[in-house]
Amino acid sequence: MNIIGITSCTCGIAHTYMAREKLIETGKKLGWSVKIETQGSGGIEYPLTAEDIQNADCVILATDVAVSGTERFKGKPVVKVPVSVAIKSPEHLLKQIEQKLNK
Amino acid sequence: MNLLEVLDVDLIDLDMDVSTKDEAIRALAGMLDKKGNLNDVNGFIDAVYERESIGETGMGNSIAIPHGLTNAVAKASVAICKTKQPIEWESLDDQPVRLVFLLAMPNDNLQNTHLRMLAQLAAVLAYKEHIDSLMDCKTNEEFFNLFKSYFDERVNN
Repeated sequence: MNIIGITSCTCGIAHTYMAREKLIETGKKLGWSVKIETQGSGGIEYPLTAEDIQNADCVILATDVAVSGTERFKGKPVVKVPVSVAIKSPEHLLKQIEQKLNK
Repeated sequence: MNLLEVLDVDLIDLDMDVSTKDEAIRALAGMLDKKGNLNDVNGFIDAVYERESIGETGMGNSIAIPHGLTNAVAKASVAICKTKQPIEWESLDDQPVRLVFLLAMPNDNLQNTHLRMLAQLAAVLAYKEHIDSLMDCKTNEEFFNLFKSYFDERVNN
């Protein structure tokens, strides 16, 4: 499974990065490829490439604020959740996505 | 500048006897002040509370990362404590906190440094296994070295 996504939070950046770590680590556990772009107060980091997007099965937007560049994901299934969901229960989130995609 | 460069083995207290968030913040700020890292301890505490008012700094899994970005800070630094008992703190998982990392950053237009350090801290503390092992450390040196090894593994790779 190839998952890409964006994490972003209302203030600071700690939640943004923690969500990124959790999603990537959980992906590893499940044997998935997970690439996450962060949009924090420091701007965009770890930007997704056109190739990442093309290969993606699903896009996760784990954000509490509006993020930029979502038009890049046209035609892809997009799952939107609050950033806290990605931090608190990343495995549940990824498994739910898998179920939805397999339907 | 990265987080390891400001980590100081003297600024760790693994047996802090505090029962509230306010006591913890003040005790940690006191450690930074004693070390000469602050210009104005009260100004720093004000900045920390200003940040607290924007949103929770409890990250879940017993961790809190309060921080202050202000001219009241003379030297970028971080003070760390493990509290004797869990303390109430606004957290993502609505659970109390045991391990607090208080970041102090001078407001010198290097805001990205401040963000990078928070990001590095978040990268290390995103793992429950890391937190559990850090909580088990008995000495400051043990904590420092373990944190450093996680940092090298998560951030320097």
